[in-house]
Amino acid sequence: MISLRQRLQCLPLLYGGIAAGLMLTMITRVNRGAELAMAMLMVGMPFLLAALTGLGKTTTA
Amino acid sequence: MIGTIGSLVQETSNRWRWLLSASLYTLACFGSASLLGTMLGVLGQVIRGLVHGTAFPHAGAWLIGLLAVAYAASDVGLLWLPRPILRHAVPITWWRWWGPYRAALAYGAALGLGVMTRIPFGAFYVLCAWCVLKGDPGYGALLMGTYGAVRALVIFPASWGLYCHRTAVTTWFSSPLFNLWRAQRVLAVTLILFGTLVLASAVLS
Repeated sequence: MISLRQRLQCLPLLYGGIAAGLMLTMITRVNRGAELAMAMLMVGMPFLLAALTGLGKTTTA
Repeated sequence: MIGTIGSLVQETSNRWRWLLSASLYTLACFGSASLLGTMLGVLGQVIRGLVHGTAFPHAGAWLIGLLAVAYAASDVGLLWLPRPILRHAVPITWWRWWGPYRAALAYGAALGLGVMTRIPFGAFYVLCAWCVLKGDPGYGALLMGTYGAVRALVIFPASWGLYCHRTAVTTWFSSPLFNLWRAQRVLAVTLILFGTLVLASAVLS
């Protein structure tokens, strides 16, 4: 069981994830050269997520 | 998972039998996950043909983005969201009933589907929704196949670790590598990053 304290301790992590996402979007808006990198990230991100989910599911019975 | 399929991990006493069992398990896991992705892609294609007509509707990007953010919050216990599953765990008795090869195939096929064990990671549902929204069976097979392959391939380092360190499955299972809470936090951050990127793209397009 996750305690309330543990849950609240995750808030900075989640905000960090949102901030990182917004920062990446800002970078591509300001720097046109980063558009390709962003496109690659958008293609690769679902696969990274799929791989991490597969790895994470190892922890369940 | 390693706890349930421990017999497969501990088959290292007979190398050929272990290799065959582990390979069958990997193939079945990859195959069933790819099949799930294909079916979701076909479902998306059908919905697209019936309702919208475009490959990736704008509203769909919003939906995926919001779903990713919400499930990330749910993963760390800040929000309750439904997590539909078919079973809570695969039965450990399959080893006794079917022997190493048929059981390896059965476990691989069941675990590759994802919904045969409880799902503490909302990313799984987001990936399924992403496959439907893309509406491409090939893409769905590739994406969910990645999930299935990574899930199955863990069996090889796990078996090797047990073989080298001569520890029991339960000892290995309680190691930091299999810390669920840690995995949930890592997945939640990745998921919220993904959701933010998708949402930002939808807003700015």
